[in-house]
Amino acid sequence: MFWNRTNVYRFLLIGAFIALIGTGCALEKRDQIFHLRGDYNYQFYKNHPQDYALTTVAHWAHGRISDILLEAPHDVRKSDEDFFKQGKWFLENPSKVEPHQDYVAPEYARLVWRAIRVVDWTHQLHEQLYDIMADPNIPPDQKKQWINRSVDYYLSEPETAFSPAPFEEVVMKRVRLTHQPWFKTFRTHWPKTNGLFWAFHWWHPVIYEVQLLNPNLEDQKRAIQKIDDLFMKDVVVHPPRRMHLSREVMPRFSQLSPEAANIFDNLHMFHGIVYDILASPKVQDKKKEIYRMIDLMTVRKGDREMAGNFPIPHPDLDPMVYSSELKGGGGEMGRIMGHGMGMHSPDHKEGS
Amino acid sequence: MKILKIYVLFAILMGWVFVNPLSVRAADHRNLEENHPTRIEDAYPIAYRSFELQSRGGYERNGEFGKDIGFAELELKWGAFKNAHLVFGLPLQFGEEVEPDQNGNVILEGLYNFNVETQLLPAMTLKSEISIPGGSDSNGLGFELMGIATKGWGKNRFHLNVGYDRNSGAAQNERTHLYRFGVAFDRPIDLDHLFVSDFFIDQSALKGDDPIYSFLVGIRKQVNPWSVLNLGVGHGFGSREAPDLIVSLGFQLNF
Repeated sequence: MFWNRTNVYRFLLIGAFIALIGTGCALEKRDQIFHLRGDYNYQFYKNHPQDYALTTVAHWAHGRISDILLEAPHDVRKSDEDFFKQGKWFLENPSKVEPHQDYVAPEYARLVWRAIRVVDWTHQLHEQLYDIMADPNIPPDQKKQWINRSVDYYLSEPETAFSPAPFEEVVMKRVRLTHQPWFKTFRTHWPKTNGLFWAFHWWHPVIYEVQLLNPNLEDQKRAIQKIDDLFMKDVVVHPPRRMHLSREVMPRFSQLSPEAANIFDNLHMFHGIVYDILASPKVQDKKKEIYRMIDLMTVRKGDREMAGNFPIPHPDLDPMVYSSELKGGGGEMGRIMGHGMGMHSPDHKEGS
Repeated sequence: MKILKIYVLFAILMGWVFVNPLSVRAADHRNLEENHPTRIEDAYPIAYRSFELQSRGGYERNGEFGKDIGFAELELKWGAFKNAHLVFGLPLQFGEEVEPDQNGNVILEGLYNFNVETQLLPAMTLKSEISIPGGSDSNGLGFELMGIATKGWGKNRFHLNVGYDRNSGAAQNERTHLYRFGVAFDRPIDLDHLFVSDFFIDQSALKGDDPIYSFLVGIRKQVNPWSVLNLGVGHGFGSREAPDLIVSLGFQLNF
């Protein structure tokens, strides 16, 4: 008899496989890519384990808050304070190993996988450059060529690579940040958590500047320890009232690799944009809006040629000092935002 | 003996990778691999352009036949394409039932993931495996096809494996076509530790025998960014072939 139990099993199995292949082919791919190999791999983890542990907290916080915002908590003020306290606890008790973004933000990953990919891919670039700067076997005059190699690899995946064009071009002209309905939602309703992120966005680039100024490994270890102390004792407690741009807090490294400086600015702003979108009740289709932002912020042809088109406001900045100017709300962001408001106003004329 | 020498060579290589952290990184304790420590395979391959060396050792006690079996396995995975990996595996068995100690089948495997999981749909994957004879219990070329699905809700993830095995060299009292079905659950304990458990129903290779029911629970620990350690314990029932006790210890190195 043809319709015996074994044949029924076979048909069910074949049918399931065909359905699986047919459905799966039409859907979004995972597309995870391994990092660029080099002898410098892992130097930062090896030489600065305490600092590496702090990066795990920063990346945990960036992922975890996305899931919390998706839950749309009723008491936002309490949630903001709770998350800030949890973040401080993790800073004092960091994990030694960095979790993937989808591990700490699983619901967010299911909603907008491409957003996870662009962030993880850019975090890989972060680690590559930390490793290169921490490798005592790469002399200072060869750092740039290794950095460029990493940036080349990063930009070879244009679907997930942020633009190396300056913040003014990407965030102000393409995204038109100040004219978006969700603009400032997160910083308005989640001030404590937002301050924590802006503290991280001071600390991340400052580490590069300190590495550049201290090529000797032992000097670098001591300097980074001082930066970590400053971060914990002052910056987290009194976070800046603006998001710093790379050019402000790592002026020398920004000149060494303007592409990397801009990519990190665009990444940091992307974090803020995502939190604004997730926190805003004005955006119903979160996925559509976040993917629209990714399309606007990822690399385009010709972006690399304009990488160096930004001013360096304080070329001789001492990165070991968290000055009152850095704590304030003006700086480059204030200058650009003011210009941006005018640029996108109804009576603005091109070229003005 | 030749296979044993190859195994020793792999062990030396593995040891070199383990003590040389500069060459390796980015293992992922949430990416479940078959037999590390549970039998379930999740829907995701290793990253494109990465390699992963996996090793495990363990012990099974078969109460019905009163035999002890030790086993060790080495697998090399290669993220050869986006969303796909290839595997070369060398299992080794030793113990009362296996005289003299010898290798199991040589495993060649390919896995392709069709999609990332979304809020509605699971991640779906197809795995195909060829096992080349050489094992103590094997006398024919084996072929396996498996459908895999992974779906999560919150921090919890659930997995489904549905597999078909064809043993072209089955003896008269053995089945040629074998089916198996497995479900599993995993959940983070903290940032570095993952709890995982599974339950499998395997059609017994012996005609007329009951299915083998088995379950395992275990923990996967991210030791450092380049390696994962896993430990599992389990029990089987049903078929006469079902193990009373399974203990498995493994680690994975990504490079």
